[in-house]
Amino acid sequence: MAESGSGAMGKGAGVVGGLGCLIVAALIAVVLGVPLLVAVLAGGIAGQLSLDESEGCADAVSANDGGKTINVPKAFQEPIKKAAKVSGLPEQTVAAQIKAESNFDTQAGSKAGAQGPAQFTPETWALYGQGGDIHDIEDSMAAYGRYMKALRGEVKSLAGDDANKLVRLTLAAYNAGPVAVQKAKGIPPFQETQDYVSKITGSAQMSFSGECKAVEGGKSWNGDLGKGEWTIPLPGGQFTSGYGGRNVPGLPSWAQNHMGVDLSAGGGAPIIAPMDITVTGTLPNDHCVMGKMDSKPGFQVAFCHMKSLDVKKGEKIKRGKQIGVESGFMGGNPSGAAAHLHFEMYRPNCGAGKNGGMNFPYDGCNIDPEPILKEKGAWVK
Amino acid sequence: MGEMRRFVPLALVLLCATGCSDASEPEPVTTSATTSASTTRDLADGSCPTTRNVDRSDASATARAYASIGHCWDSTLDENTMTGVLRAKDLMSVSWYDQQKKGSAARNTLQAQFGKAAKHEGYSVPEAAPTAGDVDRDVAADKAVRGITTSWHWKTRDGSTDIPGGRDQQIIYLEKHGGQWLVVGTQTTTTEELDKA
Repeated sequence: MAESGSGAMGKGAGVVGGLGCLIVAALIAVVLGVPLLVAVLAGGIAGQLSLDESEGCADAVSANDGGKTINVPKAFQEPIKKAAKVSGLPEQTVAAQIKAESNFDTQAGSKAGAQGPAQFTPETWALYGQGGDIHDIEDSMAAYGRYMKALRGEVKSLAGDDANKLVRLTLAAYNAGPVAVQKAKGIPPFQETQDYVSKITGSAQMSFSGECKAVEGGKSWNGDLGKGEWTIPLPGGQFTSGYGGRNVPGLPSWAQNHMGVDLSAGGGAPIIAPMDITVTGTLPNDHCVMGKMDSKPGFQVAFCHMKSLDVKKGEKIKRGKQIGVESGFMGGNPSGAAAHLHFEMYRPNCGAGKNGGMNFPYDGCNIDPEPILKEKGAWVK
Repeated sequence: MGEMRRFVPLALVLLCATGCSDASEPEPVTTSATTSASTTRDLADGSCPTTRNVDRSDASATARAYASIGHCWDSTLDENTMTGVLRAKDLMSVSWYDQQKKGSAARNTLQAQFGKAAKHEGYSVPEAAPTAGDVDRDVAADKAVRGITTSWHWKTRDGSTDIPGGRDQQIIYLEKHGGQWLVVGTQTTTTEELDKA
């Protein structure tokens, strides 16, 4: 949030003996203090209003704000637009970065000597600040745009024509330095850097993108997601763990990552078809129901650890209808895991028709369901 | 502006001539005078968990301890979240530690949150717990995966109200060597900050 005028709060005049003096002093305090108090409160409230354009990204649906940048403080809106254009990054990503770096505080500082809303150190400011004021919103955002453009240029060759990857590598270069990105030929295997990229791309979608539209850098699939909204697959559930991805640098070769998202309502909750699907098969060992979206783009999906398998191959299930019941059935054991829904998604037309055209967990076709469920309005609260 | 455009590439060339990696690396994590003055302070007033007394024969206990130690930060002493992670050195394989050490100068993922806490000389108070779901796996007798969800808030030293922190979920990979479990890799699947602007 841009700096408020809180330092200007008025104080009553000193009281030096005598009731008359007290009354005069009190009157002076009221005359001076009330307008100042109102100004401070108004400034604070106005600031808050300019920040909270939307309670959350999903609330922008009715305003048809899909993809619009939301929740940016007024004073930062135009400078962030310009910085995004210069840097080649999405506005929402720029907003997410500035929030993470300084919470839009022009006076933010750090132990490392970083200052201002974009948290430049004096050394980097000397290169990109062009003599401006490190605390000034326009100056700092303009410098930020130049700096991010330079970083983007240094990692561009690693991304090829993958725009999503380029955003992620640019963020990694900002966090760990472009040399580290070039050495790793990707996001370096530093926990801090991987967390940073994940946090910024996630925040860009969930905090700054109207209708929770996925933003370049945080997309798990680049194609058209199809018409209409989806239904939450586990109503009342909570997110417990996310998609782990594959071939993550620095991890041991035996590390097979968690290839879906886990949602939990504690057990016994209905598991719902998020969209119209046709059942392609079941996996009895883990009580998974496998399905394929009836409409484009034809994602395949998996719902695992159900209490029982109550649907059959070829069965059509409408969006919003129950597929099964949440439980912990895993490895042939009804209590093999704590009760939850493990949900997977697969790239359309992937798998070369093996297994009768049915995708399988860990078949190389998995994609992260989270940004897609969020964009389709099917994410848990 | 034209002069600046010429100046910037020249500056970069000069810097590159003396060590390009330094010019292109992230904001340096340097020790300032302020840090020197505060190094006599006890890390988080002595509240951070340590590697002592961790049951290394148990993969779950080792993973949980790693997450707890890695999420304990003192905003007046620590430059970034990695500083906490590196304090879990005894629970980490040599290669995983060395790899993370190389990234110790990375920018702070929680920069704004640390800054807010620092205004009140705050330190984090972590709570690590097993993640519900199917993340946990015993891959082999000497290989295991554990899901740990860690929440934290910031305790202030200046008497002001504690500051909200956040929550994240990590997948932690462990191997057993010489009867003791070691962390050989981690991946964070989600990070959520609870502080609002």
